[in-house]
Amino acid sequence: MNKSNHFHDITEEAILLSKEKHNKNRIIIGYGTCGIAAGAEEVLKEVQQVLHELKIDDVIIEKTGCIGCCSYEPLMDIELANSPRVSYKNVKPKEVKEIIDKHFEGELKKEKVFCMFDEQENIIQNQESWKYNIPEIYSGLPTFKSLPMLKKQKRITLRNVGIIDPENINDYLARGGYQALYKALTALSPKEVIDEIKSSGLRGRGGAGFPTGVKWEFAYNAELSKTTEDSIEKTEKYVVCNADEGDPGAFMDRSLIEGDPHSVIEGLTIAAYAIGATKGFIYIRAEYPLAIKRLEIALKQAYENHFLGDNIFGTDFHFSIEIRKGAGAFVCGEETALINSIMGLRGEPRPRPPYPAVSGLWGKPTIINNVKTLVTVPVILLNGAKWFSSIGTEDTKGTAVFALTGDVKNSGLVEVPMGTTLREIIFDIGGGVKGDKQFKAVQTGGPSGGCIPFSLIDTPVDFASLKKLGSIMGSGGMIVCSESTCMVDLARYFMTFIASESCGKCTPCREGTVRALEMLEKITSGDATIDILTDLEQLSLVIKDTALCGLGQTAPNPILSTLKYFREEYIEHIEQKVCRAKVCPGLFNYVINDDLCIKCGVCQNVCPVDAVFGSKETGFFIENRLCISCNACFERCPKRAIEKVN
Amino acid sequence: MSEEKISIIVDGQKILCKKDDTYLSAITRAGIEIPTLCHMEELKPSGACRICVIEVEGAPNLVAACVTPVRPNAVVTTYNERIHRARQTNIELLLRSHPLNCIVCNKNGVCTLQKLAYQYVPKSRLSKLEGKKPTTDLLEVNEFFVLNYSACIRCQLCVRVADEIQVCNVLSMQDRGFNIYPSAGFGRSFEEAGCVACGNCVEVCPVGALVSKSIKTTKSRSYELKKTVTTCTYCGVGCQLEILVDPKQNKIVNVQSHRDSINGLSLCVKGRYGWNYIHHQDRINTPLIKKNGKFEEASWEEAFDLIEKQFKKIINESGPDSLAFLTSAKCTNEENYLMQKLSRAAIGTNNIDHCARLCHASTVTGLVKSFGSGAMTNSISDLTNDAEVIFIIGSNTTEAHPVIGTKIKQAVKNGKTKLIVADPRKIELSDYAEVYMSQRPGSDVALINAMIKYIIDEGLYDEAFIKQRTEDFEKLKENISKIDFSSLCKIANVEEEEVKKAASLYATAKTAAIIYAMGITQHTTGTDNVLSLANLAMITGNVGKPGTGVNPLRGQNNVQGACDLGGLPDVFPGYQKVTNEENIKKFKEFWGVDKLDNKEGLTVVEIMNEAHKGNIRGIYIMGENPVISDPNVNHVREALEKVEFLVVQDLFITETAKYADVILPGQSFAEKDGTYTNTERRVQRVRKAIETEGSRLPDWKILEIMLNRFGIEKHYNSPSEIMDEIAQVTPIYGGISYERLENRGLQWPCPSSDHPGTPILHKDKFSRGKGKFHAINYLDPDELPDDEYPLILTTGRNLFHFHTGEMTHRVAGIHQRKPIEKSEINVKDAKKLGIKTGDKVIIESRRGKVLTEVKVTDRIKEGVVFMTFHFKDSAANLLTNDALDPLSKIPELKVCAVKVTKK
Repeated sequence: MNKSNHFHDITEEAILLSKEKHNKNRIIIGYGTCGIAAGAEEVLKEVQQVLHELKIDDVIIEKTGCIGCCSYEPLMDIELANSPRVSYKNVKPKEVKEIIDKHFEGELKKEKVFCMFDEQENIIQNQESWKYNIPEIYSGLPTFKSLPMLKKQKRITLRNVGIIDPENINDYLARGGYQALYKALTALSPKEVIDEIKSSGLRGRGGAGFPTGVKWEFAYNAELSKTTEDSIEKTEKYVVCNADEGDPGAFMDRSLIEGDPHSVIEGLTIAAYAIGATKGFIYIRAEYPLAIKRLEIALKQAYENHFLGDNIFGTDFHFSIEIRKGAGAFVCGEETALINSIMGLRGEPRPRPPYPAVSGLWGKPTIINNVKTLVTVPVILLNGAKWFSSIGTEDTKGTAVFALTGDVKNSGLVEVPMGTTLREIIFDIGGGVKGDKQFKAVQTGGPSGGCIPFSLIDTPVDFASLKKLGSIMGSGGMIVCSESTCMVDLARYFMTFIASESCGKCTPCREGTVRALEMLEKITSGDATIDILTDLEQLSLVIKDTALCGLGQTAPNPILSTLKYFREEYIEHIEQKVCRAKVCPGLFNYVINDDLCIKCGVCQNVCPVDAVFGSKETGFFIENRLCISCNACFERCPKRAIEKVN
Repeated sequence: MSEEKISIIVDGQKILCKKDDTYLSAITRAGIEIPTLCHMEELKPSGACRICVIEVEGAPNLVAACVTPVRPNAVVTTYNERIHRARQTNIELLLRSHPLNCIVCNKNGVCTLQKLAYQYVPKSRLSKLEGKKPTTDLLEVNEFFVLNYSACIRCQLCVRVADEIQVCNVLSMQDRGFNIYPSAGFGRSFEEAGCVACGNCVEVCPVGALVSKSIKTTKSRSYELKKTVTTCTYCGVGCQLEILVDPKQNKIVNVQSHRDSINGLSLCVKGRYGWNYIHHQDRINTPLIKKNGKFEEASWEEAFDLIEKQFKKIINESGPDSLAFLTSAKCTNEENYLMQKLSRAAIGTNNIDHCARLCHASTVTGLVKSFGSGAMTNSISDLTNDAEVIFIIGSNTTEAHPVIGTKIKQAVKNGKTKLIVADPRKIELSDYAEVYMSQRPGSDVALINAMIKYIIDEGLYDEAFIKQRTEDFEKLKENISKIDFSSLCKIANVEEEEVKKAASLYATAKTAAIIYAMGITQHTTGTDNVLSLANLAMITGNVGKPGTGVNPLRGQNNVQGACDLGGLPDVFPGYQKVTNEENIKKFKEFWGVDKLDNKEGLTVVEIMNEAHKGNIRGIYIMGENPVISDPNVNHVREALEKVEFLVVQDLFITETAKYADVILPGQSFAEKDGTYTNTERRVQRVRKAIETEGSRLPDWKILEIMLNRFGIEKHYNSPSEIMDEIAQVTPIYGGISYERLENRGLQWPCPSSDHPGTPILHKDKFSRGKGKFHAINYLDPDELPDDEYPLILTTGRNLFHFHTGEMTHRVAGIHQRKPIEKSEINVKDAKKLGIKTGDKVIIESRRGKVLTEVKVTDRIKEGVVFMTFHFKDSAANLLTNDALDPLSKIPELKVCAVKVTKK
């Protein structure tokens, strides 16, 4: 049987089906977790209702993943036959009818328009991009790529997210899906695949930035075969996709899987082929039900199309993938703990060496790659190592995917070439700080990362540069902090997270993070003396120096980097008992601005400790000695008349 | 081994390493100390405590020495300011979560954390050791030990020892981060999770978190306790113990394992916690003489006078053969030697035997016929280190020889060994087995012949070995060719496929060992069973090299030694036949007597039979309890009633002692010196740990006085002198002296003082020259089920008790765990009889009936009932059959027909 023809056939059919779709009217809803959280489900229902009412039945309703502009969700796109797709932002259900009505009538509800997609670029070389005829009425609409948020982005890893229907394999195939796997299996030897990845300079996107090709080579070379007396047995090997994304504020992996699950499968299968594995696992947090569901659908489709299973593309390569759900322990993202978890053991890291590439799952060579790494692999194989290595910096090739959050205007998923500066990401792409507040710092790399102050905002992002500043690239969390972020409190927050996520195996991480947290709590509550900083720094350094796994070794980074760049805030907390960001309870006061106060009494009603005195007649004042800084009055005041002062 | 030359530079000094060294192993071997809290040589390194950190050039962080493999030419610093600060900080972190109540802690002075704190933490830091403590409202308490969570430093040594050494799957860490704690999980107690109370976790706890309850009773500090290394007195494994005695009270307060030994870290519940019988109020303190049916205290003089008078009277009236002696598998080699000397040289009869008759008589007979020597061929360590396959048949190893059981589990867990288990019960090891066969009790010859037939038919036998090393293979082959494979499997009631799988696994392994115990021996075909196993080992060449052999596991602590030293009716010490004129001449001269009996004496069951008939008029029983241990107990009781004069020497007034005319108070193993020989023929020291109480004498002293009374004027200053005498007349013990036994003992044969001992028998040639095949055919057991008695009763042991329970029932914790017999019956049989777990039933055979509680289980074969023989209130041996194996005279304790009725 000629499987290769079979592959050509289904690809062609998929392209045809994809083209046909553009000949029809479509409504596409951003249906990632961010979209759903913003109300996409209600929007979708409304769309169905409206179409039913309007008796329009030739419209295809599709769901897509997160296009990256999370703060504009729910996004509802309408694409009339052969016309560009127009995206409407922050769509409320009650607005749906009007938007659809108008759009189908040939009008636009301009103030809700986010952008239009004048073309659907396909970054895979030699692959046709979809171009539209632009009706006159659309002229002047911003195109997706011209949006300020997108201008400096380069979407390689995110190439399909928000573009395709993740539950439809034809969409993926039409955009070059499984071509790379086909190429690898039919035209390249495993060694050639490894060499290609090696020379592309791809580094693991999970945090540590280890060169992916080198890692694969270890596993490839590890015990190629075990010779027994009578037979030569091939050693079992495994590949694992690490989708145990646990950093607070990080959602890159989730969005990728929700929006483009087949890329993960394809990347993992190529990795398996390269090292000689026949079994793969996708280790994903159980808290990602939608991602899991889409993966399951994608896996089923991949098996049905023989992209997984026995004799893939008619070759003698067999590969199967199993999903393993993690129970939500942050430490299980650490590769040795992840291995234990897959094997049904306690999710506890073990010392390395031996590295998993030599001895991993059940003692066999095992490759563990992050979602973003694997998704990038197919593009590299198709476009070539040279193409990939031309992007990025000397230190780090390619692009970086960040989950941009915090006090930033345009929060969302962004992908930029390595070497883009923090300023470009935060101000050009992110639109700067929300509410026109003062920028204070950016926290990168999640709980293991560090805080970078404004003075270093022109630092380019790549593994080496961030490390030099005491932070890390990590898996791609980027939290923007404004003047209303207390840096001591931020360190306390991350330490709370780490202390509760430590597995407890090694002394410095189990005990040290708790003691560091106790010290930070002392500082934020104004109970510390200045010598605590020496103890805190000392303890942090020993944790970093002696902890068993990466989680523990990087756990003190938030403390050390804030101590380095924001030491004066610590000293203020300790010596002046002042929290300049007015976050730490007890270290600032609430006062009522009489000019704004309308004497409604809400503050008095909500105060749980009766610290608000006065009456509607006389007005109100806050007795700060009784106040517990619960912030209730501040939040509930209809006139924002309550102010925080130092 | 290839000469790998790896070296590293440690503190400026070059150190040679082995290829698989870690920094810790290499550096400590070189004599440089690196502190650790969670490391133990016997366990896989875990890297949890981070105290052993060192600096390795090029490594960004400090390196945990225990888990990091050496890198050639690495430059290492083991101590500097950075390292000191790191260690100090981590020790302080542990102290902050630890109660600083050393002054009232049992581990004060022997606590590793305390020691490190003293080295690393300056006094000025003590006030800084504040903060919240981990949850402490947890407590694990059982009969034997306490886990005090507030003191736990989460080093996980207990979890690892449970996992890697005991392989019990009981412990794991629960929760995470600051809140982790060792736990059986799911809110269960350790016991509910299957804890066998080995206490190995207690032993390794570096702080006062896991503590034996017994140690809490002493007012002496742990470092004040007096430590004595000795040999465990329970089973034949021969574990080395360290007995800890509170010198202020002259009392044992704890027992721990002596790590430089065959058992290493391991002990079982009996070894570690089963010693309190020594201090039990039931101990006899003075000789007792029965007057008007009641025992009255007497002086030694009175007791000896009476015995001398009565025995001499009997000898005068009906000759020395009207007396009989039961020596003891619990007593030392020296005592057994003196006992047989008393019987043979002083009294003049070969009527001496002991309970080896009931356990391994058929082993001795069978293996002597096949190989020329009746002992375990290999060593415990090579079985569990070198065997690719272990075939276990008729041995419930984890219950009867617990430490060997754990070693087998370790071997399987580490992937080194595959297991074949054949047993009518799904014993614990069957869960670890590659192949499990549940044969009908008494069908072993059929099962083994089926395996042999398959091996021969498939050509899986070792032709070269058979040719060079054995004889009579043709006879075996011819006999086997006449038997049908399927009918053999049918007789054994096992699946043909399973037998084939087992046979081919055993035959194709490079090294395959057979382990068996009383499931094989206690049959009327016991000798045939043993011969069949010898056949199986020889056709596959599995004799004479590491990891192979035919390995009977001996039951009692010194049953091997009691046999070695001539506690048998047919041999002098060292298996020298009593019928051989040369031997008689040698011993006459050596012992200085004119005459020695030159005919074989009576065996245990025969002694009772002859007593029943009135032909045996006096019996001297040392440390044996036939009223519980012998088959058909009612018959034994009648016999003892009839004996005119019975002397019993023991620790307690046992069921047997109740029939005595004189009871002599012996001493426990902790009160005297001597040697035991374990199942692997290793002679090991027994050392006095405490002073005895009352007027008790060491058993060897009692026997010396008896010898003197009956005309042998020989005085020994210590058991060491007795051993010197043994060495002179016992070739296999020829090179043994106390001096040479100091470390790890010696395995016999050890013929001369420069001989290193013999770990593996029959290495280049069999003891008898060529290994001999025997054509064996299956024979039915003496008694088979019928309409009246439709079920088969088989008997065995339980981990918590030993033998007739005289010792273990007197240990409160152990008794509490297993206070009564719980006989096992198959679910299907139980259903037919309307019985459920916990019911009281009557089990009845042609010889008696007992009342017992029952446990319904699917782990026992349908049609079979199982009882242990540890309980006098449900004495299994009231039911068992005293039919004998014709050659070895071992009774058929393992099969008899019974009926079960609900009470």
